[in-house]
This record gives sequence, C-alpha cells and structure tokens, in this order.
Amino acid sequence: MAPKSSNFSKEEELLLQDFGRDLSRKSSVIFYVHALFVSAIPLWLFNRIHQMEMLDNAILFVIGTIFSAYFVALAYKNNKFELKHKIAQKRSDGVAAELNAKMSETESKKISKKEKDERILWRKNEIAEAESMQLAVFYTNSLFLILLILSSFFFFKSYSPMPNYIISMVGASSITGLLSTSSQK
Amino acid sequence: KGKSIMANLLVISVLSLLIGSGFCCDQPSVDSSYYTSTNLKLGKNAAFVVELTVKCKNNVQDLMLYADVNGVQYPVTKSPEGNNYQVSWTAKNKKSPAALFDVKFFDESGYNALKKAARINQDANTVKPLFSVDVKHHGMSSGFWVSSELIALAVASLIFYVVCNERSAVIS
Repeated sequence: MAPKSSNFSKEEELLLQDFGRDLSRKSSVIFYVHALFVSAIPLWLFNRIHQMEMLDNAILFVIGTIFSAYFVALAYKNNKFELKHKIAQKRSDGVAAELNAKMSETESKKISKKEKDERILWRKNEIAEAESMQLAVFYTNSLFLILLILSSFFFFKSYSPMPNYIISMVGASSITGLLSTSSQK
Repeated sequence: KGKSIMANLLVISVLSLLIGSGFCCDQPSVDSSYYTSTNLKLGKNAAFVVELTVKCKNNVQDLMLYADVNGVQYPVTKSPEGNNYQVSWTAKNKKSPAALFDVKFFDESGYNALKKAARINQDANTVKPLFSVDVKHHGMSSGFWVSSELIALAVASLIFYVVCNERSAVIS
C-alpha cells in the first residue's frame, strides 16, 4: 500500500504538487469550464444544421455535454502533464537568464545559490504550468472539434440527428480522451 | 296592395343590404408573411407561399378570397378557425427570376368582375382588388460550389495542423 502524504516532507509535497499529475483547484476549475464550453458548442451545430430542437432533446443534450466535458477535461489534464515537463526543460535557460537580469548585483550576492535555484524553479514551474495548460486546451479543443466535424458531417451524415449526436459526441470525446493517454518517449 | 308591394320591396332591399354587407369586407387590415424557394438543390420549380390574416372593419367572417398573380388566379384557402388564409403556387425556375410580385386579392364579386373583364377582353387592371401583398422573390441558386462542412473541415484541419506543429516542437 502506498504511503500516505503525511509521510512526505514539505519539500517533497511541494515537488509532488508542482510536478505531479494532480491539478490545483484553480486549474481544475479552468479545465472544467473550458471543457463544458467546448462540449456545448456542438449543441448550436445540431440545433441549426441537424434541426434538433433544444427543448425536445434537452435531457440528451445535457447528458451528452456532461459526458463529453468529462473526457475532454481528462484529455486536458493528461496533455498538460505531458507538456509541462517538456516546456519546463525548454524554458529553463530562458527563465534563469530572466531572473538573473532582474536581480541587481548586490541582491544576487545576498541570496544564496540554493534560494536562487528555488526562485528559478518556482518561476519555471509557473511559466510551464500556464503554457502547458494553454497548449493542452488548444490542442485538445482542435482535436475534439475536428473529430466531431468528421463524424457528424461526413461519416454519419446519413444517420438521423439523434443517433448522429450520440455517436459523434461519444466518439469524438472518447477518442480525444484515449489519445491523450498515449505518451511519446 | 300598393302599400304591401312597397313594404315588400323595402324588406327585400334592407335584407339585400344586410346580406350584401355581410359578404363585403370593409377596409381590410392585412397581416401577411411569405416564403419563396431559393435553393435550386431542393427542386427545379420555385414555390411561393403567402400566409395572411385579414380583419375587416365590419367584422366579416368566412370571406372567400382569390389571388391573382401576373394574370393567373389561384384559390385562397382559409383555416377552419380565425381569419387565416393561405395561397400557394409554383413556377418553373427559368420563368421565375428574382422579381417583386404584386399579389392581388379579390373577394367573390371582384373575382367575378375579373372573369367578366377577361371574357370581354377588357384590361384586368380596371378591376380594383380588395387588397394586395408584395412578395419579393430573390431568385433560385444552387449556392456556393463548395459545401459549408467542407470549408469548416478545411479550417479546422488547418488549425489542427498548426497546433500539432507547435506541440511537436515542444515535445521533441
């Protein structure tokens, strides 16, 4: 059985928080809001083009949107985790140069090397967090929408609107979530 | 005897006035909407539908109406309840370019006058309609040669390609 978090030191907990797969509360809220918004976009498509009435299909739309939002948010999380490490590595030198340039010579002498490294690490983490979140959202949204357009307007074009909606939403969100679990080595 | 004849004539004339006014619409107010087909892919013939609600000042019900479109008369159907009317007609696409149609509506007496004018080769414009409705037809077209979903897919693909490049640059 894995040891409980209380056995970790404060530094280890901070490291886990920064580089672990778990999201902060703020990140979770951002991801779920984006996921709900992206999952709600197809409602407009199905209402205007496939002529599905909003009120008549309200229950189906709500279930479909929530289902899709869950998998899209999962894809956001996985993609963000994969990208964050890579971005942190790439931005390392730039962040170090930025912080060194910001600190004056006297200040640089006062601060210990350890503290300087911690500041660089914190700043690197902050930048990597923001950039990885934005890139993960952008990539996942574009993948989800292209899969949705392909399935709804090409592959299942001849299906009646309701099965078209179910298959397209479930398919696009599931494939998006599934592809996010793959990792490049 | 003379008095009885006069009384009968008076009754008949009063009755005629009452009956006549019951079928003549006085100062009609019309609320209309129309539809004309514009998509050539849906059919080769252009379809026109005009829906209207007619309210007469003298509150005439069950008015019989006839529509005249470019010299051709069509019967106007009435809904079972209320004063809602509808007339529809089709025309070959080649004969129905974009145009403004003046659809004239006649009651029974106007329609009879119209028919009489046609029989004696009189100008039909001399017969005044009860009211008229303008129907603007924009003409029929088959739309853009590329379908909208193909354009959407192309744009989405372009965006996906850009973001994939960006992501690959980060991961590599």
